[in-house]
Amino acid sequence: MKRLYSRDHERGQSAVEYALLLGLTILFVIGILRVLGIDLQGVFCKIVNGIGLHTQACPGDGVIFRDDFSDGLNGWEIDRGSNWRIENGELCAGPGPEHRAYGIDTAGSNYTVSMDATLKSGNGYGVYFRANNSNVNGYTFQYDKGFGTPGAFIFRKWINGKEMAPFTPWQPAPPGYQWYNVKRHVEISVQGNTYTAKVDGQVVATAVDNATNPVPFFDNGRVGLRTWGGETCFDNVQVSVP
Amino acid sequence: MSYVNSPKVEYSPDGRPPERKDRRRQAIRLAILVVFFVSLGLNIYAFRASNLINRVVGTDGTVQGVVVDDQGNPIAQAEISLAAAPEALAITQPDGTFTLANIPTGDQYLIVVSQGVGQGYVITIQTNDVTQLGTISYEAKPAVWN
Repeated sequence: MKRLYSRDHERGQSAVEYALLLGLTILFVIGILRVLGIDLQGVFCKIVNGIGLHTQACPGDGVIFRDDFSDGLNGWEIDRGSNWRIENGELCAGPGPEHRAYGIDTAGSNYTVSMDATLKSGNGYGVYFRANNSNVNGYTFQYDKGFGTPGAFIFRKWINGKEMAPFTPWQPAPPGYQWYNVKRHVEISVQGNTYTAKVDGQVVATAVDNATNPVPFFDNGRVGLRTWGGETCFDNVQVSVP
Repeated sequence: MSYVNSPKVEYSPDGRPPERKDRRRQAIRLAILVVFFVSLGLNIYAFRASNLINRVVGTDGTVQGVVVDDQGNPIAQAEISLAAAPEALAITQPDGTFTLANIPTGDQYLIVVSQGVGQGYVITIQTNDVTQLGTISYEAKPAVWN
């Protein structure tokens, strides 16, 4: 009888094929999440925290940044302006040309920023959110006495360091509004493409950024403070995530 | 084994038994191919949505136009740039005209800055030709206007 030889093939999958299948499945899941607009940062943030490599706060963690300036400017990156100082426990900037500072550990997508702020002189102050780079890309809410008469509360977008015209309809401030030397509690909610600003508990501005390609939309970045020309003092800055 | 149950030579001319089809292995290979092509498709979609493709295909676009205010008066010394290519910069002439060259083609966001404030316009830049934008009306308020 002729000797029969079996095929010299091994049964089952190789390790390479299993690894390839696993890798492609992961890419597939990532692609689906991105297309659906899922906050990938939040998903991976929780995974990193879960294995003990904490990098930054994740959605659901609550307050991620708080500063009453009792330890000076620690935790802040001064981007522009030379007249930053601590006075009476508050962070003051100006007077002088553009002043800009970012909270170092404030990066995120959706959060609520709050602070106490007092405009001492000049045309107003601003709060950056989802801001990136020194040549800033991001947004500001502005307590802006200089924007029309009697002034207004507006949202602006910044593209490659260029301050853009308000991208949403705005309302003037109430007649007789007291702009100077009153400590105001400012709160800005940043959720998806909707931004809401409150001053002393009252909603003063709402913006929806419906930008689509090629118009830039910014979905992540840091919180910062801004003055231009005048003097403003800030206190009790807090950033919290939902 | 009886003769009638032994393998027939005509089904295995080289004397070896026929190769068994591993259906499980074939199914996994098919799954790998499916996941690969779907992942590729999703990433191509995300790449196109990010407008990065306009940078990849080249920077041989040129646009020309005239910037005027809400009264129709030409605006000089306005800064012209693209959101996707900030390194390309033009300044309007006294008659408001400008030429912005060596820029990506396709759908782009043109930014005109005057008195420190920018206004954006969605434009489409042709390949290998000068795109004429005509008159661009700039109506943004300056940073301080009271």
